[in-house]
Amino acid sequence: MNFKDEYRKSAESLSPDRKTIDRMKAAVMAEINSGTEEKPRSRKPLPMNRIALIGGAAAACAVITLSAVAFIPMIRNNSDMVSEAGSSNSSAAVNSSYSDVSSSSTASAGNLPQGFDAAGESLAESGTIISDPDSGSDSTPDSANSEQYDPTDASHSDNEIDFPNDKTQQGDGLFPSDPAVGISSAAPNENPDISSGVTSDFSSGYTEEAAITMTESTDDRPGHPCTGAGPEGETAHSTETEVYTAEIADYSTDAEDHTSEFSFATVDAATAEPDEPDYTAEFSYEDMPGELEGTAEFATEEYGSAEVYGTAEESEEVQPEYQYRLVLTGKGWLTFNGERYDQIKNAADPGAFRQAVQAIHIIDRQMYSVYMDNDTLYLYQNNGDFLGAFAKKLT
Amino acid sequence: MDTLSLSAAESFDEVMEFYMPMVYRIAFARLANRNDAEDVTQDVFLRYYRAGIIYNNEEHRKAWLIRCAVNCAKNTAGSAWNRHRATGEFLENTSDPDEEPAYSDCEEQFDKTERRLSVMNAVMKLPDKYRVVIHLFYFEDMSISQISAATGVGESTVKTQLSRARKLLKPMLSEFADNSWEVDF
Repeated sequence: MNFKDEYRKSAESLSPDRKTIDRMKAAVMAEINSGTEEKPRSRKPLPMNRIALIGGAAAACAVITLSAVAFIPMIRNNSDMVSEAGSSNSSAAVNSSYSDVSSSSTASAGNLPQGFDAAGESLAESGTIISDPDSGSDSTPDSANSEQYDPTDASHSDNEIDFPNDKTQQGDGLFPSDPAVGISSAAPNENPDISSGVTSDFSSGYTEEAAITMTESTDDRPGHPCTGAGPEGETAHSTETEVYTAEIADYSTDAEDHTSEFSFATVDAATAEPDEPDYTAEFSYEDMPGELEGTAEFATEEYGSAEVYGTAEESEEVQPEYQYRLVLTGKGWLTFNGERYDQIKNAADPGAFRQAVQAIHIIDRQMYSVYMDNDTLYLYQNNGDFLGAFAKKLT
Repeated sequence: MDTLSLSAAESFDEVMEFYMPMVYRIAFARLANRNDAEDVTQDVFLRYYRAGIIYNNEEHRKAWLIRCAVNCAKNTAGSAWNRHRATGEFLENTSDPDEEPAYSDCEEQFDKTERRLSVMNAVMKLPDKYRVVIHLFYFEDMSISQISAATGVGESTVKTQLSRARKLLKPMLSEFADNSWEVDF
């Protein structure tokens, strides 16, 4: 038996007959003539596809939910920050303007001529504290570093400070409405009375919540060190530095009722003589001791709030007052304005010196009288006790 | 055959007339059901027409039709309906249409029919993939490589399937054969 032959015969017997072939041909032609194209079957998505779709949707929802949970608090915080931006901006402006003041060569601790406003109106609007020009410390017009200030001089108008009422406005070097820093701004002749000036200014526009307390203190420190005034100086002037501290507690205002919000203001006014219209700015922050400068920088940089300047003590620290500074090491040498002086052993008190300067010990802030003779420094306490002689160390 | 145009559309009716029995047999060899074989045959020619391929030669056309018939039969056999349906209908017409039954040698005719039935029954008992290979190899006279190209499996696989199909057929055919029959593959 040949399987091939047998299978061929049996398979041929399975061939369709003529009738079946015609039927199939007719069906095919009818299908073709009907013009119905066989559309690709839309495959039923596999369960894995469904799982992937559902899982992807769930993951997307989870991501959106987590994102919302994470970002909504941030958005709220940001919105809070925006709402607080008004006050913070004003504080920042105060800081920047304060740093401008500190870096200005015409500014001094007591005088602060930048804040001077002859009319006094803008100060009244901004609620700043005006120091007493009548009780300022003595100044020497003939000092080399002094700068005469004439309130009527147009050239000083550049130093005149604008006080924008808008809280959000930031002025470059301008004082905003936030009166965290008290500025002496009244002309001496125009506002001889400190109390009347301040009270009238604030009461003119802002009498609602303003509570101004001013304390007057007389500093018993020696006079301006640049003048050479000392306990034994012949040209000693009146060396009183009167510090006026004005505190404005919760002077909260808003834009509509022309008020601004601030907490404290401190004015340390060491101003010119009452009858002298000129200011003398003898010091600048550049000449201040490093610690004080550092304090000022710290205050202006580290704190964004105006409350940094809230207390009088802090304000005192940041205000430059003395040109000469020394550091007593107690080890036989000292530094005077950054230069080292070694002690001369068994040195005697030379006696009559004509010119002396007041130097401050930058650590304990005590005042000393220093007499210079070439490269020799004679150090006295304020009571006249001779402390020793020091020779400049030659490098 | 040489007169047929290689374009599918131009010679569609002639191609159907000539290749429809072949396609039908291939489908039947796989499905073992006439109705399914007819459906597959119609589907194959519909695809042939819609493909609109211009063939390189007649062997190309034949190979395309065989490949399409195998795939369509495979898809039909894999459908849910066919997977859950019992098979059993085949060989309704096992007689050779060209041969008129001779009443004189009725016994001889009976033997022929019995052999054909036994051979076809044995083939139909083979697994599906073996049936197609057996049909292509023994009926269509296709080589191993041609079967491999038509079915999409490797040549070694085709050889293996042929070998296993023969091993399966031999004992089955021996049951129907007398001792005088010697199966020759």
